[in-house]
Amino acid sequence: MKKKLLTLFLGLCFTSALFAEEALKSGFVKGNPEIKSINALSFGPEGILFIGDSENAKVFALDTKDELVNNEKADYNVASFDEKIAAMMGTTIDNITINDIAINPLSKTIYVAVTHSNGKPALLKLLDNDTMELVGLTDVFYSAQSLDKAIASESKDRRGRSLRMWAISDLNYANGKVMLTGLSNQEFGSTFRSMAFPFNQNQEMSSLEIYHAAHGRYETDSPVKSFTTTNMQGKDYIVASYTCTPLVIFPASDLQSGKHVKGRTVAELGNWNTPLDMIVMEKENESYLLLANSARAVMKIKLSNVANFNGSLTEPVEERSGTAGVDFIALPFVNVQQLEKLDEQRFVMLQRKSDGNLTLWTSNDRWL
Amino acid sequence: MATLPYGPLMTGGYKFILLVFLSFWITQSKAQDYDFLINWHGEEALSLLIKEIELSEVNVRLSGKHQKIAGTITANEGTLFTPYFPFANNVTYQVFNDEQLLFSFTPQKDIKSPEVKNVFPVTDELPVNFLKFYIEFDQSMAGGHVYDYLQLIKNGAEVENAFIPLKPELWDANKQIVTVWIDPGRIKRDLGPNKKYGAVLEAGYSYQLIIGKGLKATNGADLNAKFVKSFHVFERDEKTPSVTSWTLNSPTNNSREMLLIDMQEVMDYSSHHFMSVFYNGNEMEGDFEFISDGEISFFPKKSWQKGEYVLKIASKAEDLAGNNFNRPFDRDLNKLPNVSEQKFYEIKFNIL
Repeated sequence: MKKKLLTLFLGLCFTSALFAEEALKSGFVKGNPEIKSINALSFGPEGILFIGDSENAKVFALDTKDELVNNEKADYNVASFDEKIAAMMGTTIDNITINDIAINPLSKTIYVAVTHSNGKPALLKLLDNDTMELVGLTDVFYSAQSLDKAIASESKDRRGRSLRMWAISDLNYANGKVMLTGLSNQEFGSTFRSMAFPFNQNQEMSSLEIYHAAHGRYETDSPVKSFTTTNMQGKDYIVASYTCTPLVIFPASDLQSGKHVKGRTVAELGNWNTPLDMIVMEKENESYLLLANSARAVMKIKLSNVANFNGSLTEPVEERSGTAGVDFIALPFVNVQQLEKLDEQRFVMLQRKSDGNLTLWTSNDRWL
Repeated sequence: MATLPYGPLMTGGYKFILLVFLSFWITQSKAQDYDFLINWHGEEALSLLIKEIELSEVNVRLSGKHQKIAGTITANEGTLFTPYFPFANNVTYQVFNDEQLLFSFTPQKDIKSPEVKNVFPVTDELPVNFLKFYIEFDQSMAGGHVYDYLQLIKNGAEVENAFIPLKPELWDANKQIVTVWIDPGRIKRDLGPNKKYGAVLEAGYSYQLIIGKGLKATNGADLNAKFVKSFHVFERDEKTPSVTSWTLNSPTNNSREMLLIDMQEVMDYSSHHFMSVFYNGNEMEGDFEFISDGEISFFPKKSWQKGEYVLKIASKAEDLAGNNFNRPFDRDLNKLPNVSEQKFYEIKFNIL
């Protein structure tokens, strides 16, 4: 009897897993998505990789078919990462740009978006420290969502090329939604977009503007550079950093189309500093925001402090090392360009070391 | 998902020894004569054809590297290797069959160096809270390194951290115009950088924007001379632009004469991308063009007809300080608690 029940249970699990897969990938088609650029990457469930393509003004969901769970992935440690990519791509490092990295939460494989100086994108995957593969992009299972018409169709030149570009700067998937933010080459506005996944072409996309205030007096709508999602005290939040350094939070429930949302400023991240990437790690029931910066070390912020910070910087705050607001700790990692969560205990950094070497390496929760 | 051929990465000390041995072996191997051809498309070396020989294990590597270059191989009256990215100009490659060195080649072609065509705004008078330059090149440029070649000079010394090094860089679709922001954190009042260091620009001073030689174009050629734009800085501009002062000419009926839009103030270079002309409720086909910092032209595709036309300007269009039609760049909530949510502003004009 027990054996029968177990068989039934496993059968149900298998069926529901198949059903879930069917549901998420039901709109996928096989073919060439004709990806023109890869500006941002983020993994969803079941090995689905989301690709932000600014030139197409689209988000693609790609079935990587990379679903084998690996819970014992060895640490990544690859020195001269850019030189190795350049060698594999048959060119010199000044001809390539590493746009983004993403880690498949199932296989723990690292996916790397690279662009040649001629604009052609490539997607690579790093299986381990010694094995890198080029991922084909012309014969894949995928679905796509166009960004709204305001981006794609406004302002063409005589040859029909878009003059206004919206460069996707960050993209994340959480709770059935793909969210992205970007920078315009022509306006200093802020637009944060959110769309349901699986994509539904008929569904209106949420598009909202996020403001921030400087000490409650001066208000600006400003582009968001990077963001992440988190849950604090049972409520989903977006934590976002602006190009001009304020770190803000706002409830995910504010993501309603056409709404103007004022992010609550919880910190300023320091002068001459651009936020580059952020992740959330957990340790002993505490969540920590790790933030990579252009001109500062990686910062660690306890999210319970953010949740409890009610000041919104309405009053001038005593500056601490050129930053203000919630407490943060500078970790001994400078010139970190990319941050990705590897598993519950480890995270991967792409760091320009002091000797100039661009290294991909793994650290862990001893720093949390 | 399809994957393309690749070789293992080399790491670790023992692999270094192996590499040294391989390099020695490679250089000692006597290369045969092979008839080959580099296929060019414009200024890009797209593939390598080894004529009349079909090789089963052919692979191409950067000279001295063990890593095989990603690409596809097809055999048809020879062996064609097409790298995923084009071969780089003036870089030497080695062609192997499995581990046997066959020959080396170096793609070489005279390629045109890029030049700076324009820097917008054209004016040499900018406000203290000036926000963005648009740098236009005469050919498409390689992205990724533009901030390494930009400098702002005041009294002969570089103004540090004047520009915010955005990733991604803000190029247009043709990669010929890049938008560069003066650090907005120093422009916005009461933000930390503004309070501590003040604005990047100071009224009454002269500056030079330098675009340094070496910035690379898509074809691999470098900017071979530095470009200098000099300008003088005047006081802060907090005034939102307004269409009420704009003037339009009156094109002749049944003609395709230019509509001249005089904006009466220096606007952001992108302003002409935020405009459209409507006739009887339908958008007219035509081209807006930048004439000067304060003047835009519109050439209709079809002739003007008698009647009322509407020029629509999106409220998001900005002036030199990032003030748009609805709100200034940074709004003092004490002085301006509410702003308009209007999406467009209109100017009506008649063709007689």
